Amino acid sequence: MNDEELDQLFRAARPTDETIVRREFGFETRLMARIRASRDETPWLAWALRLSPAFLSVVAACGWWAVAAEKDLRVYSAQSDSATAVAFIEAITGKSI
Amino acid sequence: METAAPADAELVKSTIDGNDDAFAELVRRHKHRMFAMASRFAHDATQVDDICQEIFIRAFRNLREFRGEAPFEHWLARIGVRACYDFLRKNRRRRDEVALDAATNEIAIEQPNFARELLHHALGTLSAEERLVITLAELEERSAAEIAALTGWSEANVRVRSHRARQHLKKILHWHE
Repeated sequence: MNDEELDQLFRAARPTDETIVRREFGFETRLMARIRASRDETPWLAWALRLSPAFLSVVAACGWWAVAAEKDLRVYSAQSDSATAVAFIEAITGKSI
Repeated sequence: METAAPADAELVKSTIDGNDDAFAELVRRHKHRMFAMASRFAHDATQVDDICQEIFIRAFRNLREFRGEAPFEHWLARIGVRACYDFLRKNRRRRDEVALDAATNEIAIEQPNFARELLHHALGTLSAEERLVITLAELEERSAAEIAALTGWSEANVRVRSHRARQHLKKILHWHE
């Protein structure tokens, strides 16, 4: 096929106004119904998505607090263990350390 | 005394403020152009309707991005082209599905419905990018500069793709002497 023949084919294939107008009929009614339906269906999903950054921040803060608290607990535990050991030894030996 | 119809920018603002009827009016004003565009990319009425619904839903969700520096119609056309491109990428046919002969080619020139059918099959063998460019250039009759503005591609890129698409179509639709 040469360029002229291809151009002829394109000209013949361009859609007519009549076809387009027929397809448009009632379109905005269908569209607005779909927009309203999607708005009504998933308000909880929209809220969940909006709140998720705040939720993730809370989770991160709790995680940081848990790690920090565990470190303090280990220090406290070590100190308590030492104090308990000292008291035990003093009780057995009768001598103060 | 008749009041002038609100401008597109006013309807956009009204829609953002919660007035659905304002958006319905925008759709009424611009649907013909979007249907005309979609009709060049899709074969049947259901697909055309789906593409147009997608165009206007994307427009509705992104109305706040419309700044009013260019006409609403240009902003909507860019959304339309992106929606048509996405449609082409999802619906690309396999290259070996087209089977044409000289008699088919001759009939197509004389009969518009047949021409559309034939072209639809041939265009289906192109890549989504080539098909988008050739459709905008030959069926929408847009210039390379306009296509570049709509797609975000360079003019050089548009011309190369258009040339390649034409060469490919001529090969697929070749005449038997």
